[in-house]
Amino acid sequence: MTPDIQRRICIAPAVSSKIKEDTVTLLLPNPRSGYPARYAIQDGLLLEIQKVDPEGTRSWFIHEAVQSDGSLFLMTPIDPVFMFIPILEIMRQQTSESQGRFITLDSLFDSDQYTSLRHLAHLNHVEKHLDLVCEVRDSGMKTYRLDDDKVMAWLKKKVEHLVAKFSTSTALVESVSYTESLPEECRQEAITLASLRLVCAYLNETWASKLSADYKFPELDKMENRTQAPLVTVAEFSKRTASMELDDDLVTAAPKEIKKPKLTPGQRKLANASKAGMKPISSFFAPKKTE
Amino acid sequence: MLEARLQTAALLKKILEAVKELITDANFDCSDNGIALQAMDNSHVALVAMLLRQEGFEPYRCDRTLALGVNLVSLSKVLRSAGNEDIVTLKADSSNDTLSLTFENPDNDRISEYELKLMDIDSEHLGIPDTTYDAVVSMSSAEFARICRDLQVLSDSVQIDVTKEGIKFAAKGELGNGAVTLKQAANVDKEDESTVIELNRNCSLNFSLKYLNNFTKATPLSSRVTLSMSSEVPLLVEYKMETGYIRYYLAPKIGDDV
Repeated sequence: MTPDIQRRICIAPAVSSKIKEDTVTLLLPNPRSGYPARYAIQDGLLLEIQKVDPEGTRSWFIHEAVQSDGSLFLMTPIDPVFMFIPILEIMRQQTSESQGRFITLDSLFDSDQYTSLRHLAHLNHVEKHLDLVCEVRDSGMKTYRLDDDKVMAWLKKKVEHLVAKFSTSTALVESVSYTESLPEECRQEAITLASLRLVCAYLNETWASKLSADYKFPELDKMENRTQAPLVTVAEFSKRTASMELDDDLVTAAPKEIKKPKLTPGQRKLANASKAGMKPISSFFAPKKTE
Repeated sequence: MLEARLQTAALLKKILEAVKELITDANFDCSDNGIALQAMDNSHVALVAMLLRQEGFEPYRCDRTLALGVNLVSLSKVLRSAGNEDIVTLKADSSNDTLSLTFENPDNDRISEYELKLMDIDSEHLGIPDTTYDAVVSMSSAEFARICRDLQVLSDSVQIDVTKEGIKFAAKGELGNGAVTLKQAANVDKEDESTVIELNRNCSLNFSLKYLNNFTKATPLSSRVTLSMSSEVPLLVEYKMETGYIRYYLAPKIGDDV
């Protein structure tokens, strides 16, 4: 790290000493909002970056130095399939008549808008990931097309997986604490709902509503005053991603200049004049009352 | 509604030169008496009061009092485009926030018109009481300007002593001392250069030379200047014009740290 480069405090998976390649950060469309957001690839693993921004109220001490930017970056692994779904959906160009086209791995990640997409082709087990949600044709060269049924099955599996591992995350358990005094069915439904929401946070609205339609929460629906952890809205999300983008350019609003009247040379001279022993003129002449 | 016609732009130019180095913005208070201005400098130790009586204009019309807030640097810039001999007409309206200036060249048919944006200035008017000063010295304005300029090289402040013999300006500084004394003499031949002292009591006061030098910017307005002093009250430096005056008031330096 050279002093010219701004340092950042980041929590990320440990980098094994074997790998030579540096961590690459990319600008990719967020799968939920479609807005650009920051991701990273480290050792063939896709990571999403979250920025905790104290909005200028915190700084970091790094060894002997102080860094004014007090934000904390979190890099956590993300299943690349979440990224693939919206890309595949766009690329298959489905219409009412046609099921859409099959495309190769290379052309899938070829985009003028997001040149970083090509990095996704080099992720670990990318073909295996694509197999999970695509219809694959192999005629010497593998081609892929998004398969809606496969996507739904995969998404449901994701939800199941989360439900199974639910108790391992304190944050998740706390999010359903409102069900503690409720019957067990209710609690199970709350856990499923929370898991579903978590998965939906990585899906665009079409897929999210499609997935949610397959789940029913009869017990929870009975409770009139159930407290819901609100989902992050797209608007909020874009705000968050926007702030992530800005951090590179360090766009800060220029503080409003305090307008100082320009002084003529004579006035400047007087400003420097010693006024020792001089009382303000208003101490000699009283202000006139305005009629 | 104000309409005031001034025979020569030179007068207005000189007035601006005399105040713009002391104050930044000021209200020109127009009434049926004429146009007046009163403002303190940024440090509030000096005050300038200017009056142009309505007799100085031909014609002069001002049916209701009007305060025209002017940035003096802007006004002096606009006045730079007027010839010294141009006839100036000032026009302003309470409904408008501009001051209109028309410059007419009497020799050819050139007419230039300018509009200057006005501003709202909150200014407090100080009531200046009529004072009987201990000493009133009338002298050549050029002489006063020269003394202030000469003593400035020695010190930032000057001690002025007035006795019935004359007026003495003295400065003490790191590089040395200096003093200029003008004897009272009614020089009949050169009335403009004579020094006339009206004295009730001897007085000795200290003033900032930088401020006094600033006041001498008004020298072109009058060949005479009057210094009026009493102990522990502001010095009055007055330049009289044919139809008005510019008065500067300056707080004296009092105490040991002079």
